[in-house]
Amino acid sequence: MSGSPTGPLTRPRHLRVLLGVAAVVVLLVVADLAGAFRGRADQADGDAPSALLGEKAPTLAGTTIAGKRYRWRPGKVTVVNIWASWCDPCRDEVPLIARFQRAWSSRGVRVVTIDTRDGIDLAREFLAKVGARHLLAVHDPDGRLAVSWGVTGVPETFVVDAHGVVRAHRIGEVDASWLTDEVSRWA
Amino acid sequence: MGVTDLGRSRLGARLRRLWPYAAGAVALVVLLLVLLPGGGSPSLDERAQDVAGRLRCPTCVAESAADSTSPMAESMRVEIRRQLAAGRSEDRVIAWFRARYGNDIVLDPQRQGVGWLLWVAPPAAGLAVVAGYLVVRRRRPPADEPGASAASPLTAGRLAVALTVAVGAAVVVPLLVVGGSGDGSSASAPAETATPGTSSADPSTAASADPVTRAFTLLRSGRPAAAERLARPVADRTGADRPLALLVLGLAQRAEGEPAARRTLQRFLHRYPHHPAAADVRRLIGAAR
Repeated sequence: MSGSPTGPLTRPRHLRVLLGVAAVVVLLVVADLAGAFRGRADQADGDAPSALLGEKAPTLAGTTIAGKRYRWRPGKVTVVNIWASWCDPCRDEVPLIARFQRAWSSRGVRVVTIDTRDGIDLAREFLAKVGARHLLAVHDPDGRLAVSWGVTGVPETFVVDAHGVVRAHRIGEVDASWLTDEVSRWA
Repeated sequence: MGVTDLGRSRLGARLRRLWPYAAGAVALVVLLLVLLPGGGSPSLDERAQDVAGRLRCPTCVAESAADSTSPMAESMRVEIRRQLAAGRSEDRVIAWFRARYGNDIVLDPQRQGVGWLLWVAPPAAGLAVVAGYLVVRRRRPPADEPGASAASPLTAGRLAVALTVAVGAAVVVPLLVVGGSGDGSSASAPAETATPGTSSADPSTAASADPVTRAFTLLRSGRPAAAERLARPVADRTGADRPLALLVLGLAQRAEGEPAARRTLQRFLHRYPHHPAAADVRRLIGAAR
């Protein structure tokens, strides 16, 4: 192991250093790709299924926009819909939810809605306008109830079975067939 | 070899002898910073801010609930503050959110389950490199003996390899492990949402979002081309989600630099002049003029 730095050892040394650097770069690229891949997989899901699926439903209690105290208790299959009068898709969806409530209440299905981050007068006005005054709407002025249900936006809808376990979750507007299918499955 | 060269090589030898200690000291400081909690007793506001900073804003891209101005993040801050004021610990509040939004709501890797690897791996890698260097050094002849200059190239090579392995292990392993397991550390769900004895979630009951919501998500994730593909069919027909579809389509086209963006956004404004986003869209296309 003797000789000057410019001797025959020079090439292996450079080779080794180069190999080392190349390996670091390759590993960083692999790590980056792995990260990007993960990110892409997350995005491709669009919306991850709620962490609440299969879990006990969170508490749902407060004052309704009609001014009455309300506390939800398990016992019946329940559709929980989160909406606000300022949300366009909700304005399209609420009449459907109200119709569904009318049609299914006699079959032992309950519909409870959470009116989140909304002016109480605007909400009342809107329900009156679409003929849905009867809809049970718990007022959630600061969005805390929505957060406790893991909501990311409005509208969102959950179906909770009679034992109080969250069984279905939908981000965005629901249609009549989704509601009927999901509720029939657990009713 | 001149006097200056000799002086330089001695200085170099001394530096080479010192750097492992310096590296060790840096690794130790990093380790302490990571493992030790900060001193003092923070106020409720500071604690709430800290917890919010550790949670992701669910409607944003890479923004914490502390930084975001979105209504959802604001509601999260209200809830965090309320729970802390009621005497809950920071970890319990975070577990509460994780039980509702899933593990992805937590921004920093958890110091439990497999997440601990992300915390431990980098300092461990630093220590491994230092240890490797010391072993190599012990094996080679002292710096002032003949042959030292020939031995050091070998050291550089080994050091590079050791560094590669250490950095690789520190970066790749935790990424793959945490990425692969996903829900690996969900054992800390709070009592009020504990899984009942019934079966776990049936994935088929988790309906996927409608195309427009998905398109919106894609747009926010920086994938306008995919968003455009999803939003276009909905924007071209009448339906309840048409306003949002038009809006997403226009914004996606804009993000891609397509001239059609302006036309689409104007169509949106023409049809839905009172949409909550109309004012922003007007500003947007006004600014682009």
